[in-house]
Amino acid sequence: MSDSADAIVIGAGVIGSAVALELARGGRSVIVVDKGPAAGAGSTSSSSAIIRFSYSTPDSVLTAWEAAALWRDWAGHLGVVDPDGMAQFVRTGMLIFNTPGDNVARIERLWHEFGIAFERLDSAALHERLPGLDIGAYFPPKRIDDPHFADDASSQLTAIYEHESGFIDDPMLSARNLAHAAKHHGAEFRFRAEVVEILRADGRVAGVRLADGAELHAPVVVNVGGPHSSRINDLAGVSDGMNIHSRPLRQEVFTVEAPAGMHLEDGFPATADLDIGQYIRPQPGGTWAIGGTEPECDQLHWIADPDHFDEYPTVEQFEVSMMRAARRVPEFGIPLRPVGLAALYDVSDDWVPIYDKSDMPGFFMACGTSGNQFKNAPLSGKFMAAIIDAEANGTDHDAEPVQFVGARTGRSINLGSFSRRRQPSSTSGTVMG
Amino acid sequence: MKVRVDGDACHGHQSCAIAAPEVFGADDYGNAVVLIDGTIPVELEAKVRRAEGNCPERAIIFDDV
Repeated sequence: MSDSADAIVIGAGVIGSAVALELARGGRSVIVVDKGPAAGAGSTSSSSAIIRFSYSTPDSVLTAWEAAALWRDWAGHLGVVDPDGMAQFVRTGMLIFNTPGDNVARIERLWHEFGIAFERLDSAALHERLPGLDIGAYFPPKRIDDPHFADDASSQLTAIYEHESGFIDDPMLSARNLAHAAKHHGAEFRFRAEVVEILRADGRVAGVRLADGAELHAPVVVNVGGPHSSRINDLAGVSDGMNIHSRPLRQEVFTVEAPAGMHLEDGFPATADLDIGQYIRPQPGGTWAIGGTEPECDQLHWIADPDHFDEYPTVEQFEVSMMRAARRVPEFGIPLRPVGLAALYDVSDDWVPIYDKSDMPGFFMACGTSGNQFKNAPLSGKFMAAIIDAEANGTDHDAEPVQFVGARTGRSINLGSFSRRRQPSSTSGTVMG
Repeated sequence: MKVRVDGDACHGHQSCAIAAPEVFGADDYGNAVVLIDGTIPVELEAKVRRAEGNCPERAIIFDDV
């Protein structure tokens, strides 16, 4: 094992592994360090891994649309088949309800512009397509103890239906696949290796020091620490140069039995339901994953120390999530007790990720993923390699942001839109991005 | 009580290792493994039941003793 490389990647989640793959593919020697036991074993393993295109900004929509093509040709993207198994894209389609809190009109405009097909469903069509849903409009989402929780619907919902969305069946495996491909190109992964210091020399980054005292040296260090990334930016002393910051947010996702006729295998779509403040994602075997969309009435659980948080779902959030889901799906049988996950997002100020350099030459970051970047991981690796290459070739990405041309559309994605120095983007201000 | 993990079903959330760290750990792939050979000590049975009940993938399986 060498203790020096062309690049060190901190974090072996799905994005860190993708960054490692693209840097290694570009000819760099790469060492990846992660404090956890395996690739994707952190927040990645708890991701709902939804592939969708419903974002608020042109660059975010294009990024998701381009990345989806990489997931759909996973072996082609990796260039190698992992003998331990390959993650699979499962197509479900995505139903997005028209609600006052959503940006459906903006999304429709962007989808028209980029050629992303969708259907508009009026209330009658929505009822005919999904007769198991109560399509009453209950906005805004409420807590159970709100006296208006059980109010009658104010009107009937309409929706848009997009057919190419879906999810990745095993998020941790997808990170392992990326790590396998990166190793194929010579990258080295070191697990249970915690970074405690960012080394610098001559005014630029020089490597990292690990908790066991080992020093690794490289002229490029990339922070892909997920919920630990803001701490790592603090270690590097680069946080003051950022206009957008990120911090860990605790989130719960529940696993429940899907009602008869509304299974994945029945063609039940994923739903983005800001009317009740929950999303539903069907999964193989007759269950749903139910997560939240940060409605205003729900307190956000910001976490000071990402190594210490309650890793069990709470009865309180379980009950409100189930009661809301039962409004939308009258046949839904509320489980007796919570089954699910509590894990951490790394949420930026505007719920848009940061893919960027830093004020310290050689130190880069892919962070602030805000619970909505799993889908973009294979492309984020390419973004970071493009920014790192441009800087190596003398371009100042701050002054001349890299324009990344997507292979699917031929359109340019302005990587400056993911700058740490940006003004906050106008988004939904939630995980929907 | 005896317990095993369905390695194909496990997605590596590690919620079992949080519930019962004496019984469950992670292998080099991040998947759950049972650390105890044979019968689970009685004092750990409640923790193991909690781990089984909260596994989102239903990957923890009890075997008859």
